[in-house]
Amino acid sequence: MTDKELFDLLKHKNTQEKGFSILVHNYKERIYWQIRHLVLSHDDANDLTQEVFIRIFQNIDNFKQESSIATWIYRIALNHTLNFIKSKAQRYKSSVKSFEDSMLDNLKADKYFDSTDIELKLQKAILSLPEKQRLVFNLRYYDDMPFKEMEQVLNTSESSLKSSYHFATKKIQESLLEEEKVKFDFSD
Amino acid sequence: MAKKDNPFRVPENYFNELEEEILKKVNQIPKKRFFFTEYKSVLKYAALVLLLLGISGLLWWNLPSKNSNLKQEYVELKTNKSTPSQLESELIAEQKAANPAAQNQSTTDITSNQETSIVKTKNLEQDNNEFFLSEEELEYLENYLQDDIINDYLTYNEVEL
Repeated sequence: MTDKELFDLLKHKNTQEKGFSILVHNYKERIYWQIRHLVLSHDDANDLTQEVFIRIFQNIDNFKQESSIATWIYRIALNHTLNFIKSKAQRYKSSVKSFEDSMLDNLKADKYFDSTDIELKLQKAILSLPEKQRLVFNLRYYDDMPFKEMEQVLNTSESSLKSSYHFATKKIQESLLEEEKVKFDFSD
Repeated sequence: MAKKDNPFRVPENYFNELEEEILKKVNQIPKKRFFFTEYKSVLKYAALVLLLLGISGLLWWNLPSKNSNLKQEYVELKTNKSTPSQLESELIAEQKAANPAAQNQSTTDITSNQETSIVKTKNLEQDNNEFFLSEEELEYLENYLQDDIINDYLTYNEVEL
């Protein structure tokens, strides 16, 4: 189904529910994984994914078709997730333990995570990145999102995104090489 | 190490259940919200019309109709075309009772005498920019008007004794 066909279904009240169920079916996995790689926890990712789709449903009438439906959905998902992370990080501001350390501890205990040593080290390295670089890295490395699409989702120039990704991979490699003699292949 | 091994897992059949869960929650959203979404533009215009009506009403209410009434009263006072006040009428009645000669005079006569006196006064004022009261006028003032009314009369007619 093309974007236009799906959009036509979503715009009319009679077919809106049908259009929305198609949208959920097509995008649920991508949205879930995008969120999961940012929040790490399955439970958080599950809650956030449902909230994102409810938000999408509530704002269907506000969609002006200025971008593709996919871009619009990813933008909602990313904004919602980043707000969640920020609010969670606020609670740790006065805490002895940092938010990132807390996330890693939860990850180790997560039954839906294969907590091998090297994976934990990789996640630790990703968590140590600045927010923008972490975001770009996750979208590129895990979701294989083209930079052109990322440009629309994040509203940042392609060159800036490529630069962010380049610095992110360098930092992660340095961080891992310090501890392990294994290299991850981050080539595009 | 293989590229992009996904260390993250999900429960079995998770994504099917996720879809059902989302659709169930969406169906529980109250439908009445759509009224405002659908008729938002109509409500906007209705609110604008109400606002304009409110402003027009305020402006109309504050039209200078009261001022024109005041103006009319002022003109009447100046020309003394209005009927005597209740207090003046009472005084006139008292004087009538006290002064038999005045009993035959109607209130209108007395009022018109009043008018004559005032016209005279005004004419004098207009003609010469000098003013004085005749003995008749003085007597009238003393007999028929109380002090405060005298003062008001004098003030309004700019008469000095």
